[in-house]
Amino acid sequence: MDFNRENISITIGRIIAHSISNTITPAEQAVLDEWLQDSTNRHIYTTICKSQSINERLAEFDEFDPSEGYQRFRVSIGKDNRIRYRLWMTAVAGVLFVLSVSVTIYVSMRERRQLSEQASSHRHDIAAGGNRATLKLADGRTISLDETQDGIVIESGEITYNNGNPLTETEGSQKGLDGTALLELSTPNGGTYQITLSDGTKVWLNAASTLRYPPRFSGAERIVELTGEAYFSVANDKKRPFKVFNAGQEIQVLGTEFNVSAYSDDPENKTTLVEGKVRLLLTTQLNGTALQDGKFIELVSGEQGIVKRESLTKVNVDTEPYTAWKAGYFYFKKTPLEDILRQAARWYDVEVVYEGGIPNETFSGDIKRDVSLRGLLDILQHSTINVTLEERTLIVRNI
Amino acid sequence: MAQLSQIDENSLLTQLQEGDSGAFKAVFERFYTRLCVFADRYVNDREASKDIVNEVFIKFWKASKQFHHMDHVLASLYLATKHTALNHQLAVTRSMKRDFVYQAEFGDEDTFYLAEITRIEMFNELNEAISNLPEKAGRIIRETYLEGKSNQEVAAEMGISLQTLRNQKSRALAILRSRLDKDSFELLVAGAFMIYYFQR
Repeated sequence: MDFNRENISITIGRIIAHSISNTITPAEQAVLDEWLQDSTNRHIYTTICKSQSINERLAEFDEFDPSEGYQRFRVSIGKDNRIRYRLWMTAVAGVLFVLSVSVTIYVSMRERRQLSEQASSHRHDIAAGGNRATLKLADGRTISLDETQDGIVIESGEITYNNGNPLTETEGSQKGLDGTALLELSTPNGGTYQITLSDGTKVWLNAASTLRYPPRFSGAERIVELTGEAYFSVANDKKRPFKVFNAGQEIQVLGTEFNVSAYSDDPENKTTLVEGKVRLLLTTQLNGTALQDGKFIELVSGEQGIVKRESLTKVNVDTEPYTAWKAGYFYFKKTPLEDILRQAARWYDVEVVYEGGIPNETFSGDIKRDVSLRGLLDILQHSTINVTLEERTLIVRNI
Repeated sequence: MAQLSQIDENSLLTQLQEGDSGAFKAVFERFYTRLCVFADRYVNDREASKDIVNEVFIKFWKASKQFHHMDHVLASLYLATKHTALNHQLAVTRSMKRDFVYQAEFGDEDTFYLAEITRIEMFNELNEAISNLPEKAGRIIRETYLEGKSNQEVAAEMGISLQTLRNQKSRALAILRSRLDKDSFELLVAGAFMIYYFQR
């Protein structure tokens, strides 16, 4: 194939550029003049040159970033249909190349492992988290919830699993309870559970979190308390505002969807709005009662409120990294390593130890949450990060 | 980034044929943006354009590559992009709705195809040359030549005298000329030009 016509078009395009910027050479001018002898070409020329503001057109070029395109291309080439994950890294180009090679290596390693499933693996590994939670009842009893279920429903004082099965331990125990005694749903490290409250609000609890809630919302407000992380889908009830209390903050809601991350061992609380609107208030504890400091912000879809000590700030975010856990995957977008490993620590129930400082690298990518810890680590291993797993401790060595 | 020297181009083409991924990456990054803009002319959807170009490069990666010139590579990629774009459901739907751009501007698909290549190569050339200029020079070129503002206007905007603007414009042109030209003789001339103006 000779591509003659295309080549002429390419050359002429460049010559026209030179003509516009007044840097055309006589030789080029001659070529252009000859090309313009043809009436179709003249038509092309006038159409092109009278196009709208050139700046606008030039801006279009900025929309398509070649590095981003290349990263995606490398993944397409190396993708295995059975394993759903994409990974790329935001770092120096040299390291980028190493990582994209490692994607292919990882895939073939997995294949080999799957083939020899029968043989016991001598490689120490840790399974992903699952549906683990405990429920503390009003009478003080703590029961473990069924791990084959993914959530419970509170309705007219009775508690059932999502599929309708009753919680046998609690039958009858909820009757006659007033709404003031709070119940506690807690997840350990490696646990996640979902609960539907008596007003229809759905809450997904992430690992190492506790939700305190009443069996019935009897007052003028619907109040729950949270430590840790949860995703809320609040049932609409204009007459009764829904409030979430966390350490140092309070969230006032009408009916909406948002994610709250308020772990006591995190330096910041983050409230991410998916849909609707909330008011985020700063509070302080005095003798066990939360006082409003008077500072508040309102958040709408795509905004995140950050509470750090006594400061309250708002940022625009892509909500996916903050809500992916609820849909069953990790989603990192230029996420610092420290953040990633903190999330891994909670989900896999491991400790993280840094020897020699915390590396600065950030990562982007997503991976299903039901992958074992090795699965997550194998990816980091091929970067410049040195991570090893010993018993239940992740050791990060920064050389 | 003007044209590669003949030696560089030849070695890149050889490496490309050998399946060297570094060479492939260089070609990818060189042509990616233009091809996306080109695809976008057919489907008018940014994400779809990226999908299309990704597909084109996947096919290209698998194909045997015997090219004698980098522009031949580019030409074949334009053609492949056109085919892939036309097969994309968005292009099909649009042309079925008879609001397809080429109907309005060019009347036939083939002319549209060549015209778009011409147009995009033109913009690419301008873009590269301008973005490689030092900031002030780039601004002067953009505003006087591309936006059609008068020397007077631009001088006032930048807070300089008309004569200063004229001088700076000549310098900017000289730099631009040296960037756009392939012929080394012209480069020499431009170099002399630049020195001449610097000494003024």
